[in-house]
Amino acid sequence: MTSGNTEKAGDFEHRRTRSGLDVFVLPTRKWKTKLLRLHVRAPQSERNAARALVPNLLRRGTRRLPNMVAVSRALEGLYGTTWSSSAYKLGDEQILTFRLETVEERFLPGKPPIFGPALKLARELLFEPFLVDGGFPAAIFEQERLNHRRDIEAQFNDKLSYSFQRLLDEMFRDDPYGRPVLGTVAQTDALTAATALDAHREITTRLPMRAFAVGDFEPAEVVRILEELVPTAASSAPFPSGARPHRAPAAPRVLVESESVSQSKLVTGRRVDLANLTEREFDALRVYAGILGGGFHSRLFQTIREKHSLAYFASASLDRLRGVLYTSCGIDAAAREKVTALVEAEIESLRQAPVRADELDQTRNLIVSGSRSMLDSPGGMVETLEANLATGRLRTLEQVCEAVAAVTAADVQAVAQRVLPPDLIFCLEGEAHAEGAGTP
Amino acid sequence: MNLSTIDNAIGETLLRGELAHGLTLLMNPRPGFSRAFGMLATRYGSLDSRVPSASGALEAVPDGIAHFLEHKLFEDQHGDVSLRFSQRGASCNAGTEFGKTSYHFSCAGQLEENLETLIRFVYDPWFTKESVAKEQGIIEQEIRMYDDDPDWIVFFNLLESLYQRHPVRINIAGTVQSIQQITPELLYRCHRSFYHPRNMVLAVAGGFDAARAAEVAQRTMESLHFEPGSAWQRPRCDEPTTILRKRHEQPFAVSRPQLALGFKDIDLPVAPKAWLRRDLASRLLLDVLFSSSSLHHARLYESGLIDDSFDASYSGEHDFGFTILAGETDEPDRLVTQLFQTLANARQQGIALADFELARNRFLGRYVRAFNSAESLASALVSGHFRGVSLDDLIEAAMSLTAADLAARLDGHLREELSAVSILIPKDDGEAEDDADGDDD
Repeated sequence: MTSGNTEKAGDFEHRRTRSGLDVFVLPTRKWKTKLLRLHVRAPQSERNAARALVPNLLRRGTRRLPNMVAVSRALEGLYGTTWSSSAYKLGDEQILTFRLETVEERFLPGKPPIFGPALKLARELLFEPFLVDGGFPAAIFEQERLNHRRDIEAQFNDKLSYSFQRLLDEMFRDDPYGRPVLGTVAQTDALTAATALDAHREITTRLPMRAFAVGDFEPAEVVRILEELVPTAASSAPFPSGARPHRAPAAPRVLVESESVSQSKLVTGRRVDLANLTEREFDALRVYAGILGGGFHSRLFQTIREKHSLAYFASASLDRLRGVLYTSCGIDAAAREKVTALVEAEIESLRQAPVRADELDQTRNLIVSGSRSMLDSPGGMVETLEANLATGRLRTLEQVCEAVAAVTAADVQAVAQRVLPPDLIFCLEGEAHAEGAGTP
Repeated sequence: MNLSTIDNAIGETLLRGELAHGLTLLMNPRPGFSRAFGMLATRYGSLDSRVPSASGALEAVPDGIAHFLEHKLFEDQHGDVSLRFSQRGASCNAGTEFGKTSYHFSCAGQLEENLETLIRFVYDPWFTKESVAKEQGIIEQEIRMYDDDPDWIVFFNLLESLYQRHPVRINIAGTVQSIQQITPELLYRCHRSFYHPRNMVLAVAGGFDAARAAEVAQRTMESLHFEPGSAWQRPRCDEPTTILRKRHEQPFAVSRPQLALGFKDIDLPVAPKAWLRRDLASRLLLDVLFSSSSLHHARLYESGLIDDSFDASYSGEHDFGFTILAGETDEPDRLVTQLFQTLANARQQGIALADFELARNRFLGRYVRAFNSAESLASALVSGHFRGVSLDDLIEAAMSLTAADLAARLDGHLREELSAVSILIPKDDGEAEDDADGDDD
């Protein structure tokens, strides 16, 4: 691919800037906004905290707008233009996203110029932070470091997300995949203004990036915009992730932690063997996870909630990049063993027998419909493409829909054999309210 | 059935009609959208804690019954209704709020079949002793999940302090005890009282054919039978203008203290447009005072008393309204003092015109952005219908408000004697600390 050539990447137009940045554009007038996103990619590491902290320091001021009030006023003056950033985990990578969203000028009284000034602001926010003597001001750095530490600690307040992180901590002890995407408290405590500045340089000059634009854009115009915004940025292939053999654990580990909660959270994690996975199996795995725990019709929901009244939520999710299957249920502590047995029984039954025609049909239809609904969300389109780039399976949403619709019961049973026994059954356990809760 | 066009500043196609038995239909067809979204909603929620009896007098029903009814409508003689949607690849859900209950689906195709299913199941109550007993176990787990949610608990603890008898202080899902008192008979009675088409609205938005959708909705409604009925006139609660208690604290499994400072609104106009102006003026005022573009916000943030978890919001319906300033903080009492100091300073300085215009610009940008999503637009149409205001009324209110209207809200609403504080204090068992400090290699 060279600059000027157009190539399709899924539903997007793919271009490349002179410096080698991959640019993905979805030109459309369907929405009333323009969205520009930069995704900076890094291998998950002990530097997660440093990198995740940087966006919070950047919004505190630029050379021209030296404090948060000035920055916010500049954005709000552009009719609530938003500039936001966050970190999320994709396989073994930490992805930092920077998002600029502006309202289409034609919908506002007097059609004021918005996108041009917003772009200028984005450039300042990324590359020209407010520095004193060449570094982040000490007071600002200390405050954002403390806030970041508190953010990490606040995960405890959401008991389900906390339980998932505990599962990852224990299941992937020596594996970067298990690291919390915001870093740890210990990493945060060890940060200095100098390491933060280095992380900023790493993000803006050394790490690979991808750019996405959704809205009323010409692809060539977006390439021009990015050559000006990030003139030296380049993309790269996914970072090499150490090949990890998938072996079944000798016996599942059960870890129960007591906490003063009203509802206990039961989560499990197990590996899925992805060796030599064909595209058809890749799609069949998605259907498998949907049948197991992807909605009201799913096995876990119907069995644990509807049949036994043991939970309000019961679901499964699958990471097809790393090959990990998760289940989660909110239950009464007294029902832990019963629900654990029900979860394992459903997983075993998918291994032993072909799925029913009705559940296969429902799941395929739900996945197809869910995929099509991505077509209505600018952010959803970008994240879908990013995930497809990571798996190296670039298809349009329509192609994915056709492939999913073709998955058979035999396909699902075949991939069910790839699901290994659980590594870990984790329960954040509160008080028991009823002996043998639920209906028989 | 005639469809009329609703004018709007954005130039979207908005259509309105009246279906058989008096059900209002609102539609926003969006060519180019892949998915369509349908919502059938009733003006009935947790606020309706009393049901009209045969004599017309109001009788109390168990707390959480509107939410329980929402759950139970998903089951009929033939089983689980949600499976009928999922067979077509559609997803469905429902939600109970203070003032409304809504049932919705989202689909990419077969809009007409899904629309018919939606209408039929919401108007087809089927409750048995067994199915009610089964749901009690499920909802008990839902209540327990909310019991562990610090945002939810600090919020309802606050409402219980601000209000003495208004039903807004009742937890939407009820309690584990109150839902045990729910019976099939009570559920039928609530359904009869509040699910008349004249009390409801159907909204459809996204990629679909409006004429065909209207025809299917009409045909389906015509096939159903209803006794004559009318829109539910929710009585105004004679809530005292004073608060119940100043302060409430609760130990909780949280990483740091959680604070919510609330203000009870006692200026409650009856006319919809006056109500909308009050609502919007309150929101813009909170933006001026507490958005990140405000010097007041910067002072609090830089002092370390607030962080990104801090949020200022206004909510209201026809006979209540409240502002909540909430967030995590190490020093809740010092933050309360500083928030009152902030309000005093703002009163002294007045509302600057530039600040007001900034807040209004941001509002206009958000308003346009809301049209990006079929769901958010359908929800806005439904809320507007129940409140008796149109989408353009919102723009009109925004353009006619002045900085003085915001200053009046600051004086009249954000007053210390109408405020209460709700705090969650971390339980002193050290577990949060130990666990969060995970090893780092």
